[in-house]
Amino acid sequence: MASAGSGDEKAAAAAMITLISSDNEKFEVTEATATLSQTIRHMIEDGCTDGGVPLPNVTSKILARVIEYCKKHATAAAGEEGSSSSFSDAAFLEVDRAFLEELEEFDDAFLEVDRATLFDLILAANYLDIKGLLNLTCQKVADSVKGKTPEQIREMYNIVNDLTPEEEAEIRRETQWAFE
Amino acid sequence: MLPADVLADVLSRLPPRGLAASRSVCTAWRDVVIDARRLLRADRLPLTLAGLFINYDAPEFNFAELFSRRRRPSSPAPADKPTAISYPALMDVRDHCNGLLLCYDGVLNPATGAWAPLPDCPPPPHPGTEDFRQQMYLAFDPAVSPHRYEGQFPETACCRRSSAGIGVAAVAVHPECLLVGDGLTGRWEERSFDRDDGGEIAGTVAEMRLDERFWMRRRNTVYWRGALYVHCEKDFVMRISFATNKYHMIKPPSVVCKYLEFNLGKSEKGVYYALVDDDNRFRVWMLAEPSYGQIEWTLTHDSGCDLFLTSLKCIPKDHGPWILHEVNSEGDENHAAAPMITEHKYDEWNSDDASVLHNEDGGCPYSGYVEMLAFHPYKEIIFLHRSLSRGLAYHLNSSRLEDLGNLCPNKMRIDDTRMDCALTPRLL
Repeated sequence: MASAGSGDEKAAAAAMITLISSDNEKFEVTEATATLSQTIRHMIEDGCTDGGVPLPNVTSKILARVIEYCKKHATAAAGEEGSSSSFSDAAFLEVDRAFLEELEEFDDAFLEVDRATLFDLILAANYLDIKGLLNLTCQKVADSVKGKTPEQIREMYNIVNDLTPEEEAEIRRETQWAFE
Repeated sequence: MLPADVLADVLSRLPPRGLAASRSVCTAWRDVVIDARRLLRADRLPLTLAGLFINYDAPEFNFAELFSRRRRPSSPAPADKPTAISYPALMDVRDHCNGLLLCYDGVLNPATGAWAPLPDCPPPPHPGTEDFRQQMYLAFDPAVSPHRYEGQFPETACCRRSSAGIGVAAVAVHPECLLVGDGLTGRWEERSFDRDDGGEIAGTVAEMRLDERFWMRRRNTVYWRGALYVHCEKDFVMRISFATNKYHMIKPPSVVCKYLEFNLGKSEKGVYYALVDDDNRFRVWMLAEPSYGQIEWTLTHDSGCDLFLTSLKCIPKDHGPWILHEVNSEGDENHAAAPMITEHKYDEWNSDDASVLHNEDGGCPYSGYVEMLAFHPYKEIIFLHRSLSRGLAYHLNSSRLEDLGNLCPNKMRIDDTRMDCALTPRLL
């Protein structure tokens, strides 16, 4: 708990948050960036971010990527907010569209990772509760599975088929009716 | 490997087919798909409405007629999609639910041609239900199982799934008894539901037996968000919740209509009740969500006056965007070749079509009586017919009445028949 006397200190510190990865690497980020994570937002609200936020479930490699995503999206969010008061509607829409396009391009490029990294990103997004990132990464996996046979999916994600032949037959029988 | 909730998030983004395949990947994936039943929620399925099957209650009509949008000559079916879906001539389309049709002796998936016979003859009604008419209903919930459920039961009754997720059922109102049949094994078992209406509508069952509108045509059931709604005697609706294993009765809207009948149906936003009165005034009610306390009907649409006070005009008999396929006339000498039923791969219903027809040649204002055929299952459109001769679509959002086309088959002598209809939505 911070004492009443450390108010100035606290305000200054609130601007930057230190995130600590599982392999003990430290990342300094702005609060705006960090609070894209609901998990961290709650920590900040509870005042327990002094001395850094340890994230034992996220490696430095993945955390760096996550921060990259949050920075971009925090900037975009701030840009949208700021522009609404200083542009006319038409100009605002133009800026808005440009932002969105740029953001989309960023997201596409961001997802150009191997499958292991993609899964790690999903787990991190889930743990840190970053809705946009979770949405993005889950959709990427869903897209990769779409239209694939069970065999192809297993191969793609190194999944061992632990269904018994009887269970497989059962599923096939149930599925046949409506979807084949 | 991903935790179950994240995997569920991923898989919930798949279309039904992809989801079906992912069940076969491994036990973890299978369990996620089975557990998270919302993944296969019916209202997420991409569905389009193919048309309406209409049963003509007259001796010369052996088969249900399909009434559907005309195929656009300029848009042949894409080569990569199966086009040769053949509907057998259907004896009696009794009911429909989420893309499946309940026919005389089995269940048909018109999108695939898959057919499954009904389980063996269900047991006789429970003692005490003899006063109620027997009708077959189909309740199929793709969210629960890709199988089908159907049941034969007294009119004040319902069907539900079995514990295996695959079921066929029947329930009688009075002894709270349910007969559950399994779509795969064909076996039936008994289940029970508790009545849950705080005794407020005590005596409902006895009252319902006094329903003298014996001429009423078949009533509908609706399956919506885990509950089954059954149109009962005296226009009470029985809501059976599978989550709580309880049922209760919903009072009809307070409208004086001794000789009229409500139509129960499911459309875009939930459960609907509609009424066309003697003056062709059209009203629609919706059920308030159960979470907001007592379930009751809320008036959501009122035409306020005769539907035909709109500018609708007659159009020639053979015109209109929809067409009757005339399967009953096949083989007749003067039967013009009906378009192939297999070819109606038209676009999804588009309520934004500027298709309210004004034919200046016709010039005869519409008259006659109006009856409801069905609710469009996914859009706020009501299908009606005028004096058994024209098919109409009423768009709730715009209060527009659209003439779809001729509903009177060549063979039909007006006044000797009745219509009954089932929709044929199709899974994409």
